[in-house]
Amino acid sequence: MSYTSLGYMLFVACCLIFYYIFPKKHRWWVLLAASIGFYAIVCLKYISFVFVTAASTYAGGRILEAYAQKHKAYIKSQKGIWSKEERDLYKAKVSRRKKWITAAVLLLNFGILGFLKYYNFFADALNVLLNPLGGGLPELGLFLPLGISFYTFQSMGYIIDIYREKFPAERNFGKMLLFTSFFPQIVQGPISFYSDLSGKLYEGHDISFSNIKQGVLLITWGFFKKLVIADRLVNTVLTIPAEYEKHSGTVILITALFYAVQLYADFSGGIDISRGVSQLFGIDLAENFRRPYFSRNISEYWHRWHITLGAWLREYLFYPIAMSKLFQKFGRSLKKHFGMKISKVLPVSIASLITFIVVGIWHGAYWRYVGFGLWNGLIIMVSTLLEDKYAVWKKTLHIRDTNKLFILFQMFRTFLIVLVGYYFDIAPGFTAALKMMWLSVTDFHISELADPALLETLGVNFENLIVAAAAVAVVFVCSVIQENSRKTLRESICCQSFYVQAGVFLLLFWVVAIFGVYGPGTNPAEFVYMQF
Amino acid sequence: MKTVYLKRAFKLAAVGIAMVVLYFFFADLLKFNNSNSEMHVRNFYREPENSIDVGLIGASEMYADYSAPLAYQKYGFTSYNLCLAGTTGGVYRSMISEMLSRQAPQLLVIEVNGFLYREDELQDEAKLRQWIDNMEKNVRWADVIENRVEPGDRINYYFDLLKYHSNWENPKDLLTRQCDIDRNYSSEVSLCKSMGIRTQTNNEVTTGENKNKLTSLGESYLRETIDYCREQGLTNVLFFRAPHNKKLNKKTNQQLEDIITKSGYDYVNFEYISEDIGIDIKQDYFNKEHLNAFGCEKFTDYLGGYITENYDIDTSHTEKVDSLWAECVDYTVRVFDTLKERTLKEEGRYYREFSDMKW
Repeated sequence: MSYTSLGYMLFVACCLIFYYIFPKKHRWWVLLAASIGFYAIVCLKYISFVFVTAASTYAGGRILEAYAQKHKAYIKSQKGIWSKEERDLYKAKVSRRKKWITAAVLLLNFGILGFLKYYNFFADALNVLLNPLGGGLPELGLFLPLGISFYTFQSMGYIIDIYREKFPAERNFGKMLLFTSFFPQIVQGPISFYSDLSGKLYEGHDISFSNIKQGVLLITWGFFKKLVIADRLVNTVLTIPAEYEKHSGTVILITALFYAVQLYADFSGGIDISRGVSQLFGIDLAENFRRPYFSRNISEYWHRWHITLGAWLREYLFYPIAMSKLFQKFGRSLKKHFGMKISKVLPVSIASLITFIVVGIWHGAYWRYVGFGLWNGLIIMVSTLLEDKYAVWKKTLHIRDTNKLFILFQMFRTFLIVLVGYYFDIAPGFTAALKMMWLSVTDFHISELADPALLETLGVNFENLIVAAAAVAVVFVCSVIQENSRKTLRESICCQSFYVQAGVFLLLFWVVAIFGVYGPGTNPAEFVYMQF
Repeated sequence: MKTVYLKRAFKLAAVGIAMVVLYFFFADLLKFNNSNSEMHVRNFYREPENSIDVGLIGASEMYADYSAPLAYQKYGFTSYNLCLAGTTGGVYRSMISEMLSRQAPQLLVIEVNGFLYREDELQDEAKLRQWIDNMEKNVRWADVIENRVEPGDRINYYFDLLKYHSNWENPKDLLTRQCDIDRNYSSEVSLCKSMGIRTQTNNEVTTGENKNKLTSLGESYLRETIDYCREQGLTNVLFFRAPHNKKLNKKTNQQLEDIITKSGYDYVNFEYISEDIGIDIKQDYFNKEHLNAFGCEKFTDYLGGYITENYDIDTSHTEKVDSLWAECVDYTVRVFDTLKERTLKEEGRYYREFSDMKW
């Protein structure tokens, strides 16, 4: 049951009816039943994995909290008896044990994720060494349970927060299970923080006409992006890179551009559907995209693209690394030899590089994803290190940051950097990605753009190309309006008269219904991020 | 407060109604499979109720080889070709049930080619859709979907826009269909009662034996059709094989004959007597499977005579029906004169009853 299927929409409609019929206090039970039901329909075979994650997170949280409370009380009772050193020693011991409990839960859950997702990758890599010695690890036919990356990250964020004593542990297992498996977001996120989502999930919401209108509009917009744009281009993106040697650099470059459009439309469209469905229940999910292709530098891009994954990694990986004793020591040693600036920037840049390598590996167990992470991490590292130099160059050339042409140049430059990263995504391997980049530069012929055979090679006919281009133009115009407005576009639409609201909805709906790629004879494409 | 809720309910209802209206508008606008077959089905519903004496069910052979108005002109019985291009025996039961829901034919004539396709052809979506998507949406429509379509695909039949929405890519075809509809509805009823003839003689004469087999699926459809006719208490049912260049192999023919005659119905293979009918293999076909205007006239004459001789058809009709049929005869005779003239010139154009004859 894909998010774009009619079955899913009927499922959501039934859940909505039950949700608003139930007494307010017990409405979260409907969400829980719907989430378990959804998972069972889509992926019954692996439902136990969700239960294991929810149970271990729940138990881990409760144990951590109980342990911390018990020892806090004990320390309090020893006030006046223990010296400061004795108290600190005991606190350190407690902290160590808490770390062990947290590590055990993290190890179990990331262990499951890592084993299922990366075993074959590491086995392959190890076999390069082991095979000549006559040994080797077998390749296992492993399958990823639906949404495992997303619900594992979300739950592990919770356990780390409990370790940090940010909020009390959840006392109700059902509620923890709902937080782990909330059906609109389990397939591809957004990855939410417990502190943001839990209250919204457990509190029963009143039916709101405004939420329903905005939710429906957001879902339809998501369908527009997914069915009208992404699925129209997906065939090219899947077929050309697989046999890139047969194609010219022009075709490869256009395919990469198609991918940039297709990936954004697919992922952000899917997130719009998730957020729209949640809004029907009165639940606001975190924003995951803020017009990423308008970014002026790669750091900004990562604050606008897959925002929730970025936030998660910043909170639970980047800061812990950058603030770790090892990195602080490294910074101090740099200060002695290279001065203040380097001692501040280099450790942060390295932490950032490590984070991006993790981002790459999170996408999949392939060297090309490592390349993707390295590329992004290195660009951020280099731009952080050269920040001062840029400022000098800009001053010398009299370029102001507010100059519109310069802003456009920055956006274009950032897009190109992102585009290079995408080659690692679409290529069949790491070296293939490099070769494809090389071909895009050395084998690009502008004359090919006017060749009618180009469309045939790309597997798109003229009519479909025009529809895709028009739809991209609509998304672009809406993004420009949104970029310059505080309100969301749908909020603005919902403030208009009934006729405007109904007109916009009907127009959007029928554009999707007619120009969407779906139905018999088409091969419906899964959401790209579902595989991660 | 109450007014607010009422207003909202009204607004929601208005959007809902607009959605439904737009659905039907787009579903009709974008529907395109085979406009010839579509008009044959549409026109069937335009015939006055209980005005048809002989109902004919079959594939393209029927509307190429047999002309109902010409048969009426000579023998006085009214008939209708409820026939679609390449339609399969799998929907014959549904076609008969639809025929019986509006008409009380004294004789039902069924061409057997629809049972002789390969199994994949028997389940071909396009062939199924020519009937299902064009018939009236009623209980029998839902019934044929339930019986003939895989459960996962049924939704695409109930909401056929799911299938046809991408036809925006073929604006030329959609425009052609709209023109066909426009021309088709210029008369009160169908004037030729389904027709599809090319103005040429067959330039690829093939003789010998047709190797078509009655597959187990084809046989099950045949038996299902026979059972349904018996359930409906039909006594006069004629199964037949229309003339083709290559004659049906004896084994399959015997199989058909055994099954049909054992059930108490009649079976005739007109291929085996096509020389008696006077059909000239070089002059009377427009391709190896369909007769041209000359062949159609000959076969209509023969089949009409056969029906009149073997079945006691009451040819009395109301004045209104006779007047409508007289109009059909006038038109069809003119059409056939023109078609024959153009066939002699080997014009090679395909004419449907709503084609612009430009005479």
